[in-house]
Amino acid sequence: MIRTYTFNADELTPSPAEALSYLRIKGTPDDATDALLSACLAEVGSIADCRCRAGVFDLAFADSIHPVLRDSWLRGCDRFVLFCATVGIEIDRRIARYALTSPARAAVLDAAGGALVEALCDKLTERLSAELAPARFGARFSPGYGNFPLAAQRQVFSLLELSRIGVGLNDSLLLSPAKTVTAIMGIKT
Amino acid sequence: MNLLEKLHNGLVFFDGGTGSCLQAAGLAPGEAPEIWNRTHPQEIESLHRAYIEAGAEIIKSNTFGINPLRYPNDCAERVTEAMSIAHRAADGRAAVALDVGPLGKMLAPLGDLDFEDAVSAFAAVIRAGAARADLILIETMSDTAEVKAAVLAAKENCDLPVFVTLSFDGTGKLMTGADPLTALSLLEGLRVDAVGLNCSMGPDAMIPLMETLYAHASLPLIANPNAGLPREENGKTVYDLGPADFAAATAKLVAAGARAVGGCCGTTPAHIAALKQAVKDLTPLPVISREETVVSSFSRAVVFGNRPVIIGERLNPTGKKKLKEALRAGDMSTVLQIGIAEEEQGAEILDVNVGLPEVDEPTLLTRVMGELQAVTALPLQLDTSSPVAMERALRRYNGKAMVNSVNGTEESMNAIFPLVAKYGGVLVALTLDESGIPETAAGRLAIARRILDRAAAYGIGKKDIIFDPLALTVSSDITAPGTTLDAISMIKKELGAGTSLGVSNVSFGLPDRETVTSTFFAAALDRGLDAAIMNPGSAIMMRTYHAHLALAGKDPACADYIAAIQRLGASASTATAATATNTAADGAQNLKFAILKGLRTESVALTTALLAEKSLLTIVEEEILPALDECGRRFEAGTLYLPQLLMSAEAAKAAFDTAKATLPEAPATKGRVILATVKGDIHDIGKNIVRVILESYGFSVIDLGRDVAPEAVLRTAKEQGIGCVGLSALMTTTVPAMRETVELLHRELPHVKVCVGGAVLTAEYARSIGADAYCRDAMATVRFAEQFANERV
Repeated sequence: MIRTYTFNADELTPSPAEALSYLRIKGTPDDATDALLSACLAEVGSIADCRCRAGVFDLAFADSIHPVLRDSWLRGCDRFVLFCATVGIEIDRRIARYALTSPARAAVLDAAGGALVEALCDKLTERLSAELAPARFGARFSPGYGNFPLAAQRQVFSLLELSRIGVGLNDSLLLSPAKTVTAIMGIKT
Repeated sequence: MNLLEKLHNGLVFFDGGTGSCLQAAGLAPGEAPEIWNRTHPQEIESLHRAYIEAGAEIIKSNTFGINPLRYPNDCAERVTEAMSIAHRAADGRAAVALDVGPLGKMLAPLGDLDFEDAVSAFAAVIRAGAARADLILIETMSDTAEVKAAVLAAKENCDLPVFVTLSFDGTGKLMTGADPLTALSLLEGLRVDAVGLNCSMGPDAMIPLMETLYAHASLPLIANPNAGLPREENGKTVYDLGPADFAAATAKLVAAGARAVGGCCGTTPAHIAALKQAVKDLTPLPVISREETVVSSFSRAVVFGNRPVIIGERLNPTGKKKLKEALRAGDMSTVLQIGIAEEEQGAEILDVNVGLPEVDEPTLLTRVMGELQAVTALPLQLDTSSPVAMERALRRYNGKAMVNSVNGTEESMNAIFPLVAKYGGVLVALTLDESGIPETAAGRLAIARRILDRAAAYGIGKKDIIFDPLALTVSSDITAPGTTLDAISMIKKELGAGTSLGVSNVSFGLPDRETVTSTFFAAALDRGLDAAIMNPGSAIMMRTYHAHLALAGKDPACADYIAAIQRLGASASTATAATATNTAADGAQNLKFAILKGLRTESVALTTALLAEKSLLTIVEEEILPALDECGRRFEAGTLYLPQLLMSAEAAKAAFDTAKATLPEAPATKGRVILATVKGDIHDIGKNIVRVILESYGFSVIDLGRDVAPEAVLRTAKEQGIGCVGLSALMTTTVPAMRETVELLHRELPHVKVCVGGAVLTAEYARSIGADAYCRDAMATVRFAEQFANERV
């Protein structure tokens, strides 16, 4: 069955290093950037609305998402988890607003939001892995990655009924809110 | 007795859940309940009958999931089938609600479902089902824009009562951010017949929400809670409240104000029977006609009457050259920056006026309104003299807007009242009529009285009208301000209605206008003015406002006043501030350093100081540009990163704007560039970065925003005579739109140079779609613009 999970942002630990990598910053940032990043990580945490949808499916079901999955990413698995995680629309609104008032903050908030949704994926994975113990998860991968085409986003969207958590998919296959991830993980029993 | 009379007289019972009961009867998990209308019509009919036998007086048709987006080929047929089953089961013993659920697709700007397409989709369901229905029930809604589309579809396609129930989450908000009062104001504005709560949580969690609704609602309230919270047991979903517990908990919702009660997910005929037994002797709380003036956005409500409301007046092109140019060119960022600045200065509502002779006002007003609602949660006051523009904007506005304005002329009332009666809104009513503005306060009161009477005929009550008794210029008539002030008092005392005033007019033609305006403002506040349309950027007006609140006993311990003065600066300490600035500005090195370090405030202060001794051109050439060039070089060399580059650009732009503001004429731009994120693409952070850097280098940027059609780019390039265009796209799926835009531009305007950028692009890809250049980052775009946008305008 497909379930909705909600989390408080203070349960999450977004990685500053991850945010820096989105900003293409290698090595140590200067003090100003570092301070801005700390402020932005705190800000995204305070406005995040963390919701997920996740379901466990038999391997046979993978074909209805995309035929490449079964013989590549899910090889050796008997089931798989399909999930979506979003940190909500307010972060998009803030980014749009800062783009007009403080573009540096917009860019760093964007990166912090990215790090936050990754942390949400990790937290959800942790929860699912406790629920499904002792089964183990394979690598996490998303539509648009490798031979898993972005177009599969449509199947994922309708299968998980993502409008239930306020996630939209447009005709260009963009997910909204912007800080939203969909992914699959194989399950090995 | 019809259903609405029954609801106003006492309790009415809804049925309970459908999906969970059908799953117990064999519906597979994941299988849509509406499928059974075709495959198992008997089971559906039996369930309806079971609910009626349990005591339900309203049954919900099994149409929750049916709409043309899910069933493009046979939506109407499916609705008709479901309605026939419900009608047969009810057989006159219960009312049948045509059940309308969410479309399952997100509306723009969250998704890409257009508002009017949503209205059409709902309309298809309503038209197919209304004939066999006694009422429309729009339920489980969690987006204010979507629920508005559904209500309009219902109102436009049938005459049945419209009930709406919303699904709030654990934080007491809808998915798109509205709290109960905010959502209620929208729905009451749309003239629905009953509102309430359903799904999402059990009855206990609904109690505080129901209490809030009851405190503000003038309508009967509905509660259809779940049977507690769902959990999984052996692969099946079960709910934690049995009939008795559910009934006891739901009875508390009746005590909190609900008068139509039933159930949602997990409830069964047994739950409804128990509920009816538990509450049948209760008398519901009375439906009270509340006299509260409320406007709202998608997530915020502003209630009038507690303290005067500041309505920002700056989004109005009259006398503002820069805003005029931005509106003509479709440059949204300039427009939005004004609105955000007003919010930061303390405006609680933004007046939006885009009236210019040469623009398509209905289209532009709707666009500006939509863009503003993407960056600010402040409610908007739509300000136009065109009823067509007003209707277009009101229809799409996400919330309950202020409508500026109606007046006492027949023409105005006939045009504007029907719009507010249909879409909701709080009217700003000007006390003038065919004979002009009365010279006496009594004359203005008489017009106000007539406007109230006429509005009542449209079902528009006093709470939805704010009167503007019109401030006239004191320099041309010394008695004018007194008349206006008296009119405020009389409208308040005689009619009990609210007032608003555009205060700035009073000082026209006099020196030091702000002193006159703010003194008049204080007098008007003292007479009980409820709102002022004013410039929140005027420190003296804001000081006056906060001083009034303190003096009127509306600011405990004067805490807000003290905070406001800290923010605004005290009126006497201007000299001290200037001295501090001079101390900081001890030489040319410093501005360059401040820009390099990205210190915006310091850059502004240093520029102000430098202007005393140097010209703008010298400051730009000796300080700003060298600093930016160094940042740019270091960025290109990889020793300085994007956030620092942006911080420096912000500081440089702030310095540049400060210097520019001292000049009588805007200096020549380095050149003009159009930027756009292509059609279908809504991720525009990269484009926004490019804009800032270009602007900091002195280019004028016309930013067309995101999801921009090829034709819109072409039109702007043609009309504005611009030869340099930058396009961005984030996704591989939107690169075709980029190619289309490049091709269109090159075909129609061969001299135009187009550069492209974005996450998925490469130099090779850019060449293959015909672009003149690939710009890997903002600095590359600056280099491109230096080469091709070096026009003089």
